[in-house]
Amino acid sequence: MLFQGFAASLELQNLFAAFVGVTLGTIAGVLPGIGISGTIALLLPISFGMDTLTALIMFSGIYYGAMYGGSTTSILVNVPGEGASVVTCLEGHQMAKKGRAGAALAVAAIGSFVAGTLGVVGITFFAPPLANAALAFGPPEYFSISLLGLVVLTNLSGKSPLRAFIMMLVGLMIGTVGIDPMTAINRFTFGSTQLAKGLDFIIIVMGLFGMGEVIATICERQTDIKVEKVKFRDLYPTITEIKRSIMPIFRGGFIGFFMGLIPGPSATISTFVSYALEKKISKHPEEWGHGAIEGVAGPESANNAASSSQMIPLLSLGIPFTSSAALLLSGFMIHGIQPGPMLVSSQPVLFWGLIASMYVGNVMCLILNLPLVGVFASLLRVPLNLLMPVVAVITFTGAYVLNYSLFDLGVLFVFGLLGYLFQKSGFEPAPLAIGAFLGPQLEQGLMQAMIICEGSLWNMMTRPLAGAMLWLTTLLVVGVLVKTLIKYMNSRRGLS
Amino acid sequence: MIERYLSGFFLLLSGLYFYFANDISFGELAKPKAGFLPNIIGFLALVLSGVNFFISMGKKIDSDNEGTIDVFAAKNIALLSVGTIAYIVLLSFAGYLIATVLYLFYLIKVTRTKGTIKPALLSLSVVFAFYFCFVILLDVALP
Amino acid sequence: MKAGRLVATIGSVLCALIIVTGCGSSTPKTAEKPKYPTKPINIIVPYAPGGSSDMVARALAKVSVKYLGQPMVIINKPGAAAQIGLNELGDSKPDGYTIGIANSGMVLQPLVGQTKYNYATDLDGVAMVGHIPFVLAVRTDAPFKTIEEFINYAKANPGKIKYGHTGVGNTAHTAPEQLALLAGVKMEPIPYDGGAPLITSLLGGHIQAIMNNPVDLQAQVKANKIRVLAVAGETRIDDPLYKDVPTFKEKGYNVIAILWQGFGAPKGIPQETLKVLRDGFEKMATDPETVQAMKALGLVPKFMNGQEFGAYWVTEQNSLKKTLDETGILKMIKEQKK
Repeated sequence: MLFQGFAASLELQNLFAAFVGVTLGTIAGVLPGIGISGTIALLLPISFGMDTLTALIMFSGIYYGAMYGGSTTSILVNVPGEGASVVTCLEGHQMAKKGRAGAALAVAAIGSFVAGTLGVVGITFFAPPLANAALAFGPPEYFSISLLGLVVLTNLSGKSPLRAFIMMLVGLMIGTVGIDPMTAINRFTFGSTQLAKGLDFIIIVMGLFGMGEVIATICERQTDIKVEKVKFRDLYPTITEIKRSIMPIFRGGFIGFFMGLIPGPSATISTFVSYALEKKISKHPEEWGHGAIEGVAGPESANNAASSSQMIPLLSLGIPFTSSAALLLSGFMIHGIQPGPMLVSSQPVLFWGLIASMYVGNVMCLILNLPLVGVFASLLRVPLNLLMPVVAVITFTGAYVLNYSLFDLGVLFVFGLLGYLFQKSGFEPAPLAIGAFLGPQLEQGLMQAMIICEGSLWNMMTRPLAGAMLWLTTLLVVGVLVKTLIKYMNSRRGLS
Repeated sequence: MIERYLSGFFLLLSGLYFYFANDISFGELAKPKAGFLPNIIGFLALVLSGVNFFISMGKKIDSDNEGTIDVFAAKNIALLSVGTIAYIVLLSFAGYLIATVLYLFYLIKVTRTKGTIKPALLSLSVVFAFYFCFVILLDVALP
Repeated sequence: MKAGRLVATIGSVLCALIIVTGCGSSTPKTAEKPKYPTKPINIIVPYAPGGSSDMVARALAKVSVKYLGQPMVIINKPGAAAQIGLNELGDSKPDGYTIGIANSGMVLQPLVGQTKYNYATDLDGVAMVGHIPFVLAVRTDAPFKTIEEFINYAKANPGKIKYGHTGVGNTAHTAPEQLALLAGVKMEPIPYDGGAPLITSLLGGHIQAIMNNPVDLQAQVKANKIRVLAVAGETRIDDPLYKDVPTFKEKGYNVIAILWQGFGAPKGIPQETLKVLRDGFEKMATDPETVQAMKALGLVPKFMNGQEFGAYWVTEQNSLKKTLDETGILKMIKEQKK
């Protein structure tokens, strides 16, 4: 079956479609703001005339091409192109500042390739049972995961847990601004339709990280520093770096694959989880925050694996779990294909052809991206006083293209200023981003779960999946409190 | 310095948020309403930022681990803000091409680049490149 | 001589008259205004790209050059339950170059909140292109196999049945509430963020029932995972998959819930322009390629001309208001603010 699929996918026109898709996807991923959704939506009408398999191959190419490209701007200029690239900014950009941009980009590409391919292998063999497992997750489970995620991930930044927690709460607060989808009323909008839209997460992170960096650079006399020339050898990772990346890639891929099965923006969450994991088990804890390569390898692999496994619910159940998957679904439907449990049996050539093309596509992405690493890394050689303004313009343009809203540009700038101030004063922006991101999910899950469990917390704790996570969360929170208490007592004792 | 201002800012923010959240009804456990989570997080935020505020007020002013904004930075921030506001307004009047070229040029001058011709050329080429990418290649609407 | 001159004069006057009238009938042509449309027309889609409304717009836009002579540009302005896009449409110049999506969702927001415009009365209709009735769906292994069993179960276990919907006041919410009202049962609504999590939750058994667009459920029904109990339309659905599904009306419950898709424009477009626009849309909507695309997207293609469509909005809004009042949803929304 699979071989038939390979045969179909290696046909010339399909190869070409894959190439076009992957290229467009990478461009879309590199340019912040314009995401997969926009690109696919644009190409859909053109695809009407194409052979079905060819069209689908092109779309899937765009889908994960974008995943590869998203890390580029994160590493180079600290501008996350999409939610899943935010974490890459944390370590990737720091590496770039130290002149290791090429290494970061290369590792991201390699990790994405390995994880993406593993992901496709996973789909090939485990699609139906995994899809059914995904169904066991209901609102109580989403709530528990979000809560667990918040608690775990708020410890991402080493410094003050108190501050990190506050930032997270602020993020949650930001997440509640807008029309509440649950009850259709306006919250914290003060009568403004613009605010009723809510504050888009991507704009917030582009502001906090991207604009923040730009403002910091401009205001800190860093633009007057001349950048030294970078040798060619520096453009690619050293053997040590590669060795250190191998396990994170596998771990990240593993995490990403399983998290991709959960509805919602799981690719982004999986990057956070991978980051936290790598940080905890890292043998070089002092490097974190200043360019630890595991922090690029893990998350990037996670998000590629997640985007692969997101295809599983789409193909086996016909249900899209993210907006880009929904677009793919529309693409399928326009061509008269109904993905779902019957797809494998009713359209085997299509199904396997698509899967095979994903393998091919991953290879293409790698071939495409690796040489570009050199090109991109040398972009950083542009003197900062010219580069930063250009970055600012890229950020604004990308932000506008997201929602066609000038209001968003204002939000972007405000968050840029905030990001700068945060940077200077020891308040970490990452927990805020996590809070803003998980907030809506957390709240939704909570509201739904409360109704389903009829208000009883105990009901929730006794569900197998949700309960396990909630107990874990409680233990963690208690653990943190106890540790803080002990530290406080010790410092008291030390003084007296 | 900034630390204290920010701590105070957060305290104020939490307070305001909690105040407004009180307006939204809370509901009951089995049927939570829109105000459920906002009230909870507003309350938590208020408490925690209060604690944080007191801690940061109590710390000594140590120029080592505290950030300050010197005049240089403040001047730049002001320049940036004015320029950006002008840019956003200009976008709706003059369209993307003109507004962005001007803004880019302005920014390059703000970063103390010498000369006029090179920056001008750079602005024009970069903006045209973007315009090409977005509008022509990707068929996206820019103002 | 005098007679000759008289004849010549009359002759030349006659000639002049003929020439003048001849020219007169042709000057309107040369002095005519350029025919609308002369530049691309913008369609504001108040949803993110990829949604069903967006896809419908793109499907229609594809054939616009054939029938209107100009391409159509899709502009997505998502947010605030379509308010952002709809407000922009209301704000735009009524010159015929900006139109937007008008679907059943738009009559809701003005009733429950303070919106800038009342979309049902402040916009002009261009054309309706399709509609689809909602259906009641449950898991195949649920204890109720027919609509009667469902109602009986609900009567015997008040509050036990939890159904999901895609937004307060949405058709997916008002329809079950209507049913509950008419059948005298109590069901618990659970809000979801969209069709996909809704269907997933149903499949996973976390909720017991939903009312949704039947096309989204097709794959699952074919795989025998989901069973459709009833249709909220005037007649049964044409599709062979659903031909055995009774309408609510047949069973004695007057529950009608129909999702409709169409296009609207700001008020004040000059009549001739509006006519060209409406006629063009009629041809575009009935073009076989578009019809096929709409079917693939889950709509039953049905054309309604602009004027009727505009009047339809008002009747729909009134009946929605009645439903919201009767089912107590409106009260519930108002209660959210203390």
